[in-house]
Amino acid sequence: MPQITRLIQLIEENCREKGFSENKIIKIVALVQTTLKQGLPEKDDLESSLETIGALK
Amino acid sequence: MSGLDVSILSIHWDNIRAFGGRPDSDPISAPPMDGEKHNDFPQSTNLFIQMPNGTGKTTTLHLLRSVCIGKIWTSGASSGGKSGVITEQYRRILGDEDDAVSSVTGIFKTRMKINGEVYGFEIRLNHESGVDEWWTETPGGRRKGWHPPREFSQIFKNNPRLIELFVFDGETSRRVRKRADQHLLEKAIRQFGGLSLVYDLVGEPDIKNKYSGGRFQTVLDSLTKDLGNLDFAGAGGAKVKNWKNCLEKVILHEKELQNSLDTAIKDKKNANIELGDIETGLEKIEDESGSAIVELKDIGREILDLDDNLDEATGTMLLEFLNPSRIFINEWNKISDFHKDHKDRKLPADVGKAWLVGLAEQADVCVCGEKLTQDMRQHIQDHLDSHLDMDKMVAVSGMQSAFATSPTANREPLSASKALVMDYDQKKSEAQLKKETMFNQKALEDQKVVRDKLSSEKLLQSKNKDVAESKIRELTETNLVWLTRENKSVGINTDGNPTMSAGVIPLIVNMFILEKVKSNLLHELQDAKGNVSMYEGMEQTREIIGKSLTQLSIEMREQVSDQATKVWRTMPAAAAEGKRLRISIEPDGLAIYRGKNTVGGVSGAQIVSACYSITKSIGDLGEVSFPLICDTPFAGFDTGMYAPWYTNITKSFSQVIALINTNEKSGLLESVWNNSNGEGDYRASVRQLEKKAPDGGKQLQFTEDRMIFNTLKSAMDFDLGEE
Repeated sequence: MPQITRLIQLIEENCREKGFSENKIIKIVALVQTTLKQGLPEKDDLESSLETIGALK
Repeated sequence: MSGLDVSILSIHWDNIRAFGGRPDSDPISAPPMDGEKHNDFPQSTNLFIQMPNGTGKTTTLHLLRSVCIGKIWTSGASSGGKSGVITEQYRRILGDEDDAVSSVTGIFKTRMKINGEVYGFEIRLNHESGVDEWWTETPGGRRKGWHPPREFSQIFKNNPRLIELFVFDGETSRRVRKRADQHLLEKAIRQFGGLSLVYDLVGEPDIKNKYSGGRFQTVLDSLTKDLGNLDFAGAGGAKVKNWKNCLEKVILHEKELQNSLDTAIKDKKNANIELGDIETGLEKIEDESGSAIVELKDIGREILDLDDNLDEATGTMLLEFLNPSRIFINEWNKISDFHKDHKDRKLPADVGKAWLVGLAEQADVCVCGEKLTQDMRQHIQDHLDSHLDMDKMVAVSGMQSAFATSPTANREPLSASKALVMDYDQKKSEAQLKKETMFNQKALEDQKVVRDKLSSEKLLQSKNKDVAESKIRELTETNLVWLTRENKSVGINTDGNPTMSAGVIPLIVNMFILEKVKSNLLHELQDAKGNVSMYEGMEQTREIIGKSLTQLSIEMREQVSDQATKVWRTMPAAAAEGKRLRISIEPDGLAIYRGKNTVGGVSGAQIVSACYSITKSIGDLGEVSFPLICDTPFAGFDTGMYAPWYTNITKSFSQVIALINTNEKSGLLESVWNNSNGEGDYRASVRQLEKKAPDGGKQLQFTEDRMIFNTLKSAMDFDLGEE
């Protein structure tokens, strides 16, 4: 759907504006895309994703 | 969420309110069944079911909403409630009094085609146990429960407010107009835009667009839960103790500021309601005076026209202000060519080459922050040329030269548009003065008194509104420059960092600053616990996704508002005002603008057609094709609006099911069907038979007889005889 594409585009733009690394951007986008495809992540999976994102520059 | 295509195939009533059923008589089906075999409504046409008062229009509408959301629909703000109490209202009525009801299980069933497959949803209302039992006929067989395809369930499950937009009655338009459910439209757009799951992840935005709740909240809760276990005795123990103390004060103060904000929002809302009523009162007085003083009516119309002209002229003037082609008259073609072709990300070769070579040969770290390896350096050297453009510098130089000349703008078009704005502005002021003078000269004394009273009340409420808005801004502003200038930046130290002093926290007046202080404290505490990566990851991810959702939400609201306005202007009621009226979906609900001002005094018919337009546009956003089902759709419409309604609404939705009363039938006959339009429309009636049903209740009949449809005058029009 065009709205989803636009959301990803906005996330990427906002990440770049913040100076996040490409690796970090990929992880944030992946979290959103996985949620849209598979539903809400389990708490443990989410914590693990967020820890990885937080550790990246 | 992928697209959704839904149509209604048939409806069945069995022992529901006025509809009789087994074991005393046959259930009623629309269209009628052939024995046990279901028949479908004709597809791709409009269905008009004449249901005179007392034959169950509202019951049918509410049950249709229920089958769409998977639970008994209720009109309350929440979708909860004891099902037994809710099912009571659908009991079969046996006598003339409502308290004589049957305890036989009632059954309501609707068959639908969903994305090409047939589903049947059946609600069994067991009045003995008070339980509503659900069954679904799926392409794979009959199953207990409510089992539509995922695409359907994702949108409508447990969503009683959303379904009201599609299965529509006058109450829906009242809700939308009064903003009884402020976030109805916002949530509908989000749902149809396919973004609900992302909101479930990061939570809901508050007035400052700070997100809380959602799945992220579970992570935050577990991070903050065991802060009490932090060891004060270890290294930095005093600091940790102070942070914890500060955090407790922040949480307390947060509640106080939230209460102040709630009060200010309520004050603003009340002032707005008062102002709307005052505006309606003033319009009414002017209308009344206008009918007595013809000149006043004419001049009112003239002011509206001048207002539109002024809007348009101001827009043109603003464009002229910003139009660079008036300044770079000779160079403009070159400039526009440059921008037209400038689609790549290549660097001008003259300066870019040296920069890339420098990066490959001398830099330790790449621009992305990664340490440069030998392979990376070699890659940059090997691919230099693919990132460079030999001609770009030439074009840039050309543009720089053009700007360096500081050319004088061609002011003629700007002067002309400015003169036009001034002219309209002056004419409007003169017309307003004339209107005021005329009113004072000719209006009745008591009208003048009421108007003066309303005008002073308006001043007072405007002041209340201003005070509330100032308070809201003080509490929610996120611009630190403004906050500092206004001496409202308590909580931010002179070095720009959030305070860590417990004494300062209760003095903070702004929630954004308090949030910064809280976030900083949590960060430090998580660092002390060794969880800082997860905490930072959560804060950063929530901020980025939240900001993106807020931006997208604004874009989608604008898109739906524009689209809905276009549809609306083709509809009766709004079309009469040309381009003056505009729909705007705002975060707190629907606003209707006339020119640049919001208006309160729009007709019921205009609101209803605005709702249809919004529903259509929201459906389009989600590539959803759902029938429009409406109960007495012409209530409040003049007969002249029937034909345009018919043309526009039936064109806008793939299936329209209208439950109409006999008056509306007569209006449609006169305006539409007797004029050779809508010959293919399905037309049927529910009528009451003279003879009571064997259980003593009403005996209803569903009939496709065209003669009965055309001539029926009321539910108890027994002169037409039996079929």
